[in-house]
Amino acid sequence: MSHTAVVRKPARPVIGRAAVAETGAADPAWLRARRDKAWARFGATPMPSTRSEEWRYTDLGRTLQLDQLALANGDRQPGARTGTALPDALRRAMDQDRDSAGRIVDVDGQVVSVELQDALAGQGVVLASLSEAARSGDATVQRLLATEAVPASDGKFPALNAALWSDGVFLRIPRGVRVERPIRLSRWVSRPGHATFTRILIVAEEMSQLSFVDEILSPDFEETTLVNTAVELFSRSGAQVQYVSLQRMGRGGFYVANQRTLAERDSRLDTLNVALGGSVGRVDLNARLLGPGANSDMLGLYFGDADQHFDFNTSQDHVSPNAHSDLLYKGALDGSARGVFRGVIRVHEGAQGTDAYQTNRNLILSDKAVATSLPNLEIEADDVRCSHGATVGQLDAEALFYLMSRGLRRGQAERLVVLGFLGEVLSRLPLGGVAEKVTKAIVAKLRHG
Amino acid sequence: MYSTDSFHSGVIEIVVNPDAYFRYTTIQNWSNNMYNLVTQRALVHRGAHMEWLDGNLGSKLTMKYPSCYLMGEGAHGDILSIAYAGDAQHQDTGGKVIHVAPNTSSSIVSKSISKGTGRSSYRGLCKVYDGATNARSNVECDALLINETSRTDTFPYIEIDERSATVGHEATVSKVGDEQLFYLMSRGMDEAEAMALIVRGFIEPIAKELPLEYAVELNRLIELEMEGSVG
Repeated sequence: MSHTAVVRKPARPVIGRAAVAETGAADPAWLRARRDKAWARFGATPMPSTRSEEWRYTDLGRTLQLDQLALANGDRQPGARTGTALPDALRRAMDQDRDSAGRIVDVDGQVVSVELQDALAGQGVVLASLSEAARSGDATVQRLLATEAVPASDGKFPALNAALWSDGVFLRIPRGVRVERPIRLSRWVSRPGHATFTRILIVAEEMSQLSFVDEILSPDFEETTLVNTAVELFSRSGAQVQYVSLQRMGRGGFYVANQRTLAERDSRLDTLNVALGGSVGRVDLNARLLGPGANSDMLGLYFGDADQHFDFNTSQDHVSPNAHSDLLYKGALDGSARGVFRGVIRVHEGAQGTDAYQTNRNLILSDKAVATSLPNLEIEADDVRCSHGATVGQLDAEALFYLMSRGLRRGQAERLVVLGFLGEVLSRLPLGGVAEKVTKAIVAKLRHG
Repeated sequence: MYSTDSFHSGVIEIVVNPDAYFRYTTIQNWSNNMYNLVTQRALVHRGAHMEWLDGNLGSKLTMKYPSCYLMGEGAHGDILSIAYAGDAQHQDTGGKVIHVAPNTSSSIVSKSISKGTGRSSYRGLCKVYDGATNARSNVECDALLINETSRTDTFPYIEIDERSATVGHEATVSKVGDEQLFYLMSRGMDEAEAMALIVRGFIEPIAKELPLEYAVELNRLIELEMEGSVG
């Protein structure tokens, strides 16, 4: 485990070729080969700089030094976590969840428990640790892991993730099975100055139904602590999928997510990204509408304070005719927080009958907060309905005045207006306890400010 | 028309001193082998008002983004832009408004028409610096697509460093509606006339701002360009 390169802190394995081999030591040959290829890709891909259009407003050179990070999966003992008591903060967050059909708990990039209702398991639903599923020879995992949705060729972080992911979730819903209540992933990251790489692979077969909530928490860190998540979502014909990400890391957290949704004919694939925690949060979300009648609602909510920096880079790819997508990202920015939204609707040649919308709204609550919005359209078909809108503004003075005239103090009135502004996003995706949990977290942040 | 591709690069500098009003109108109809890259900037001082009226029809590629630097309190900038991209043409146009001083306001209205294999792109910037209190800006982009090979893009940049700023951007893309065409044809027009009328209606908000002789010219140019676009 000790490498000559790591003179400074010999006990901490670093991101490097040796770590790739070590992480994949127990993997089947196809997966080791895929990791090696991804590592080569990582080496051949330059670190994104602010000269690149997609990274213009997030300066990685200044905020992230990959060679300073240790690898969370390198120094774990197999099975060491099993049976360990979960941290209180994670336990509290889990206790707030109602109605779960299943749950996976992941601590520092390793799955520590998997629960699934017996009835669902009986119907053929598979909920498993991703690395166990890969090692047990699951054919779906071998076919779809880092191949179609988030392959290493997608960029620097997708390549790094495909080489170094330690564990994650594999979820497959068989044809026609409807999972009424959400399946949850509860993640905890505890090691300061470490990097964690996780993957989520979800396949909803024809006419199935599923909702999935991915929540991540951590304590505050003194050192930059990286979490990179690759999310691959497949909804086959007629399936209905909801994916919710709740990012509630502590300060010092550096969260990078690469998400891609592939929606086939007549399926629904909706996403909600909530960013509340961490110091830097970057989400790359690409929705591909692959068949007629496919639909993606893409929702986002961010609330930044202090020096938090959130950057969302979304794209809606209409490859097939007669598909629909609708994006709404809303954010409030306090302190010296910065919010960046860059979104593009691409209507490819031949995608006639496309209906695509994109809206980004920002509320600036302090003198030092900064909002940047870049809503783009690229349209190569003529029979389409597309529109986008973006706004940046402050609290509505009339709404505040009205509430204060009814006896509320200024602080209370402001809180209500902010909650009302952000609440629109939550009301569009009603899902077991998500709205309550997020509202509570926002109120807690508002009280701090 | 020259026998080989040609290049034009113009620079227009305008200074609008306190409380002055200035309108710069340009309708450009270059030959279809001209690369047209133009820089148009206006410094707008206290209480002054600048208006760019920008029409781009010809050229192989035009890249042109008239800008208003709102330097003094109460300065106002307007940019009205119209682009027509026919076969093999690319109109990459738009506008920039930079709010430096308090109580400044701006508006960008952009309309584009893409026909055949033409491509029109709106590219614009709205920047509000910290300290430009109560700055207001509104951007509207509408794109009309005539054929299924036509292409349009919208690339707005909105960078806001000031809490009290109010900024909005809206864009829509549509094709000439079958229902609109059907209605006009049911009133006795042939398809080409109906199409031309709809396109004229689409650009009307800008055409009506033009001096009469320019408006007539613009309408005739568009009619000429639209010929043979049906069927």
